[in-house]
Amino acid sequence: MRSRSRVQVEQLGEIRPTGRGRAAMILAVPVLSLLIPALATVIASAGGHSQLTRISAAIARFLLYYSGVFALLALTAAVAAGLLASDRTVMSPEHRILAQALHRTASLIGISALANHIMLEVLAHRARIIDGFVPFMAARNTFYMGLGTLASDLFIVIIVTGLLRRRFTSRRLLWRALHATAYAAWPLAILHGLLAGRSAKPYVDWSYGGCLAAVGLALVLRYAMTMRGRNAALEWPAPAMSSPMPANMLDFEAAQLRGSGLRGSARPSLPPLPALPPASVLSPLPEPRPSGENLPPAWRTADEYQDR
Amino acid sequence: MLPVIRVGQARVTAGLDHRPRLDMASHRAVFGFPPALPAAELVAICEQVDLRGRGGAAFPVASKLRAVLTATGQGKRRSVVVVNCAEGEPGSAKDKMLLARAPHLVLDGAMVAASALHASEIVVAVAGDGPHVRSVTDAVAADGALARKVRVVSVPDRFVSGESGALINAINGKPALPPGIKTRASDRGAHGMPTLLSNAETFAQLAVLAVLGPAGYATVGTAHEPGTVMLTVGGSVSRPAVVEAPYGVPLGHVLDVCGAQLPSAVLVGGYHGMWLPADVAYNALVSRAGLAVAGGTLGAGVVLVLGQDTCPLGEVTRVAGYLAMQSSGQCGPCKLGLPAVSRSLEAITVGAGGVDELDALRRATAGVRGRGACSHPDGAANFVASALDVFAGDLTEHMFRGTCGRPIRGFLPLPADSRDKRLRVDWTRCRGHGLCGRLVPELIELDEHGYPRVHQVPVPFWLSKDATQAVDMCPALALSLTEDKVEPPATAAVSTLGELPSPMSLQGRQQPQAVLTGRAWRRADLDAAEAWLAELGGRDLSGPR
Repeated sequence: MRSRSRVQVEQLGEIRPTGRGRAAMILAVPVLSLLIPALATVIASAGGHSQLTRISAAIARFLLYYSGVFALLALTAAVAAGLLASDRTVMSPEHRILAQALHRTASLIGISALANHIMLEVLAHRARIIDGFVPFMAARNTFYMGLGTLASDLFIVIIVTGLLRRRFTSRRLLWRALHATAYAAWPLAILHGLLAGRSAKPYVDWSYGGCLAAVGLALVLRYAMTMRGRNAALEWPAPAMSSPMPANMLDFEAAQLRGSGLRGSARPSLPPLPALPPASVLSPLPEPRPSGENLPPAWRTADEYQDR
Repeated sequence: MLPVIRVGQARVTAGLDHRPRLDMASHRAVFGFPPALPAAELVAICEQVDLRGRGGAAFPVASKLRAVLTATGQGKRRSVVVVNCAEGEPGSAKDKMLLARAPHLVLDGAMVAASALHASEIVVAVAGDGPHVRSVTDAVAADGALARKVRVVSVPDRFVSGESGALINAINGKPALPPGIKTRASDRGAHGMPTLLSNAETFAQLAVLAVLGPAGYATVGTAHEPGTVMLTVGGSVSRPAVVEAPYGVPLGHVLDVCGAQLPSAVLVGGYHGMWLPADVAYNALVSRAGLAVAGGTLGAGVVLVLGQDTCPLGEVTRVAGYLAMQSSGQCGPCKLGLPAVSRSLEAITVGAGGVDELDALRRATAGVRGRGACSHPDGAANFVASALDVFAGDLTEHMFRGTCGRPIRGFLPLPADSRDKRLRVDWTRCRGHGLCGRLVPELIELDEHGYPRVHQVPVPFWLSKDATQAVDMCPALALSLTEDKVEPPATAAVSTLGELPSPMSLQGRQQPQAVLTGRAWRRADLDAAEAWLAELGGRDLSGPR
């Protein structure tokens, strides 16, 4: 008795679900972004006087000075876009989706620039590898360097948990707490940027201050809106009216239908009810009678026929 | 695996009353060797009995053969024969049954066609996994000539996988999706060669035709549609079965044999077919012409019965949701239109839709017709439109009273996959931000308060990215993608095999030609078949039993 059939069944026509391998693509961005500066540094340090060496040296120097600035700018944009994305008073759902996309993109650019910054500082022997990850270990400028490391660690935690956000649906508060540390990490990063490296030009000081003020204001506004919106009914989308509101609808019902009647503070002040007139004064309601010559015959009353 | 019931003479099911599965020896004892026919003669006999493809489109086999012969210069160039057994229709089981129990008959038919066309290869395409796959691979392995010529391929078990273009794509190594530009398989099919592609039953019928000759083949059936047809009868019947019946038999008789009791309506032609009111269905004749007169379609021979004790609209809604998610997501009108149809139906079924919803439903149904690469949107639209006609009374009841008062029992078969994922909302957290409704409008609709109304269907592969993004972007972390609970597939009452009407007693083994006529069906054989199929895993099928 033969054991198994010899004919193989080929599996063909496989259909892959959309969106597979997205996480890998996202993680590839910061890793790949390290290639150019690493290459440039290696070529530049190899020495020589060729054109390539000079260009590489220029690139490495530029990125050494500015990748930290780019990280700060991108992460500032990320914090601002994240704040914007959570607003529901002026932002429509479509705009909030855009703001969230911006938030994620800016974070990705920020973390890539941050990785570059750390790598280049280490390659330039201005910091040790351990200084990139463990705060307050640097030989000089310990405090302000440490602030940067602390901020960097927090950002890494925030971005990793951000990528894993859908796993946190059952631990929502934990995720919110982790994500909110961005508001601590970001000012630390600004302090590090102003005080850890070369002394900044005044316009840099002013623009950093402006960023702090803008985000602070947005944060206050967000908090206020959240507090106000907590008990409120929904702002977006406007309730869809399945049919146009009848012209003769009573004001109170109309207001309720529009949604404003549902909100305690915005309840329209109602006119006082008139007292019911005594029964003797009540007149019979007039018959609603369409007027106009163009009405079809069925609408005309007997009187109109008699008039002719 | 469904039992087999026969009405009238035995053709493709001949011998199955003696054996659960016809291995090579018993197959030859029943059918002998099919004659080697030259191409011209094969075309001629197919034309004489007007043999049609049994996959649903009923395309004349003679025309297909002729087209392949023309494309290959009368067999001078190479061609391929494809046996399509990827019946994606959840209600259909006849091709799986044939491969599981009479694989050599199907392979004989394919060999007859292949030798007439001088085809270089035979591809047997099956869907998924099961006894039918093991049976056909063992049948191929049992014969050296077959093993050299036949390839068995498995394609994803989806509704549109069996569409000829999708199948050709799969054989050529692409995803099994219908192509946007139609090319006839007879011109350019598998490996770019002219291809004769037809359904497994077609090849079985071709083998029977080659054995019996046109005159013998035409002794049953109607004058215009000679021979027999394989039906799969399911739904709320006490004996769901694969039925072989001659063309022209009253559908009512088939329904009686399968134990249908007081149906409210009958679906003919599967989920791309039409609903018939019960009285019309009982008087209709099982043939292409007979069902067309009744306002139905024969399709691939799927007959699904709906009993009085289930909510018909709810049943239709389940199937419409399934059809919408079986769209391959390539063509806009289909991937957006069918979910819209299904959402409107769902709203009416649960009592949340009025006349405006019915208007939207009719518009959406009409809007998908003729606007896709394959006939999926058309077929789904036909299914829904005929349901709206036949169940007009229930429709009004649902629209004006919210419900017809009956539960949805799930009599219409749907495949259940435990890997399917659905979107779920944690209502205590949802604050109606409304982002999800913009990100996956196919699956999430916002109600008048801005809260999501989630379409309760498995997320199809072409929406998994959008659905994941909606979960990721939910500001309240209230949306999640969760795997389905594994529910046992809803089935009708298990068949009571002893209650068949007047089973004729079987004589002993006879000559092959005699076995082909007048065989009835015996309970003991079916019991044996069921037991055999149940313990099929790992068994060697090729030896004599």
